[in-house]
Amino acid sequence: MPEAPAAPPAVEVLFRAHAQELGRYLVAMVRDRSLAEDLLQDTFHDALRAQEQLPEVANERAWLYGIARNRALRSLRRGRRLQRALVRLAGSRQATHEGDEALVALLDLLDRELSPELRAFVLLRYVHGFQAVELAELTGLSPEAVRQRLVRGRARLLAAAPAEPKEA
Amino acid sequence: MIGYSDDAKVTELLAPLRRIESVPFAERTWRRLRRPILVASIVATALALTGVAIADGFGAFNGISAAQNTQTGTNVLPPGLLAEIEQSNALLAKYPGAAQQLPDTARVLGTMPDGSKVYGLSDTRGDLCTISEAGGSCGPPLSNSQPITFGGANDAPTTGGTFIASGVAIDGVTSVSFTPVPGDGQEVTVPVKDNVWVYKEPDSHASNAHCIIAHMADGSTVNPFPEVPCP
Repeated sequence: MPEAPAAPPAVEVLFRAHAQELGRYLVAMVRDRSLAEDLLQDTFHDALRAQEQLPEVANERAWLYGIARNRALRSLRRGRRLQRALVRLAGSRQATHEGDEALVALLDLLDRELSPELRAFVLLRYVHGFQAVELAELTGLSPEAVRQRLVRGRARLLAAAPAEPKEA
Repeated sequence: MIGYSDDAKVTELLAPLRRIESVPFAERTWRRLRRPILVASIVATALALTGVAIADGFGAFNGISAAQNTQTGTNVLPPGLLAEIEQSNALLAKYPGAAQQLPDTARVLGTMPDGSKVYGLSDTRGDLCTISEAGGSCGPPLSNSQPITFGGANDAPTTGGTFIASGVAIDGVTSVSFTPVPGDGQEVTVPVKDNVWVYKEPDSHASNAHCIIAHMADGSTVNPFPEVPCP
């Protein structure tokens, strides 16, 4: 008879509950819906493979976001050069949010001003509501290191953002 | 220095990002990747036949004749499985919109080779949930185009454990074939008995499969998960 795991991991359940917001996070990170969809699937696969960690995980949502973040950063590192070329050639990423100029401008701003790593921190903090301490657990950095990154990311954004945001 | 006003400014600046439309997570993949969300202890095979369930399956059991029976005591989930479901439901309750499993809809769908029972039940979404000693998961009700469920699990895939693949099939499916991954690439074919199929492979590193095919009684085959590539 198979040996029963110590606790029900419920990765499917967790993922189902958070797939929507994880998908939004990944779209904001990579600005490519197809890639974000792939990364969402990859995140799920990674979560399944790591499900034995789950009984020890205090913050399940942060755990999933941590996996998604790693996936996105890995993908961006691999494809940064290619992505730049594609953006120059086709501007296809803008088509992702066609008709929402404010959103496109904001994504452009994030892209231009923040490295993928900083972007991940800023999105997780200011869009998805994670506290610095949670981000520290999620990334393995010290809370102080996370705060420094948040300060840096925030300063760059505020310095570059238009004083009066243009409405679409 | 972190200032609250700057925090608020960035939050406001980034507010349009909340309008981003999410990307779909393919529901079918859930079925392909069915993994245990509920795992009963070995002792759960000892059935406690108490009470008589009265709820209906809400169509979750369409095409599964093994489930088309009047509920009797034999359909009642044993305490171990029931506790697992309650635990899962309690976890689900933290997430608005997540479906709750309905233990009162449980039916015995079939029996595993080791004698343990496979139960089917509905959830509040109308999905079909299957639960056995090997684990359980939920997905949309079965159909002619997706006539089987597929679940794979391995208790120790890194060092080599027992790979268990199992699922439920609608009437007319005679066997299920697939290739465990990772593995030696050999296809295995598993017969369906009483709407249930199960495969066990000891000392295996596999935890999933590809090239999953349902073989029908009329000789035809159905690829229930066309999105899963078959290299």
